[in-house]
Amino acid sequence: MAEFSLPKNSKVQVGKDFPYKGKSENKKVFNIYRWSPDDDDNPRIDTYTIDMDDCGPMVLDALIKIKDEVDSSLTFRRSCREGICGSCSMNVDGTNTLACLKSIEDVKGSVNIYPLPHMPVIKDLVPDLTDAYKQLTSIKPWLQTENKPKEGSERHQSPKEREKLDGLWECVLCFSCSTSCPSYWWNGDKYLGPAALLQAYRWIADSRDEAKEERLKDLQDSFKLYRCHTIMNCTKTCPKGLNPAKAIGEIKKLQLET
Amino acid sequence: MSLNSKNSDSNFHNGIPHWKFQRISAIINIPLIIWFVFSLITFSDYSYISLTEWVKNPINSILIISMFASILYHSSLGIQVVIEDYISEVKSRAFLLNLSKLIIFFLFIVSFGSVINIYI
Repeated sequence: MAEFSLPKNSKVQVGKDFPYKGKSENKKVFNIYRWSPDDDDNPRIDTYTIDMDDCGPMVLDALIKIKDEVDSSLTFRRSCREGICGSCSMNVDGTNTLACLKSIEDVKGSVNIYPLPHMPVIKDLVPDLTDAYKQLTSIKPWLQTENKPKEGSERHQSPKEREKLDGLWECVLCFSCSTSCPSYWWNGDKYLGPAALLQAYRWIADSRDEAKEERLKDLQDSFKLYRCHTIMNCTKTCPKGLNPAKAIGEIKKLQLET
Repeated sequence: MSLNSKNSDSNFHNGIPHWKFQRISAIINIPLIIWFVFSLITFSDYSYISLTEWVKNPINSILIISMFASILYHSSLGIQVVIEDYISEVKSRAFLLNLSKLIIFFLFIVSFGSVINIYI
């Protein structure tokens, strides 16, 4: 059966409070999920108050400031800090997003930060995405061809054919969409999830790819693709403004035609 | 969580027909239900005799049976999705899927029999 309540050792408790000791008119409170595999403690919410006059505008800036100046044990992934690498995906203010693209100003009241929902947690805000990457690998996210292009020539694609990839190639694989999907929560071991399916459609829609039929056939079973019930959480949450639900719909349409 | 990429689970099936027929039955449901509700609303006499007379009209009988068939078939497909979504244990899932189909079939026999019974 699906699990509707948390096991005892997953119940989130009140954690430590780190108040701001200086004087500031512009303070903001950050409630951050903390859990470490190194002890047997339950997860907890630590509270950090920081001076916004001395902090960058994005949630990632605040996290880096906390790690640098308040609590060096706070663990999270980050790299490019400009929405390209997809590392800092987490649940901010109840919505999965990239911390580097989420403005603190947009959050009313205190900022609640959790790891991506329904994924095993490695530490604090770092989820275990091993299975999500395996699912991505399973759709073979690379160009598959049988024919070789003429010697010295590239595989040509008209601007119109290239346009079909817009809204697909921009995905940074942050898995905000997959981890916001209730179907993926319940059947994440069998349903590929919106992130992998958007990638699948990215290659199905590519005019240069020659494995379209095989790709469509691979997605035929009742779980890999058809667990999508157009809940649309994926599209609502995507920090890059993409539409994985539409990509999934397009795959279904193509499957009807073949 | 272990990744289940192979079709080792006996409950996996081709998802295309299910998806297609769920939509087709939904579209068929729309005119049939509208016709049925409209007919009931515009009825002048709700007595048992006049209602059975109305059902006895062959066109009405066929439409009513088609409506029940379409609604029950659509429900069966919907319930299947819910069971597949929430019941991950393979044996209980298979049991519930069969049970739901049996109940739906029973309901169809009852509704079909009720219409036919009027003729007898």
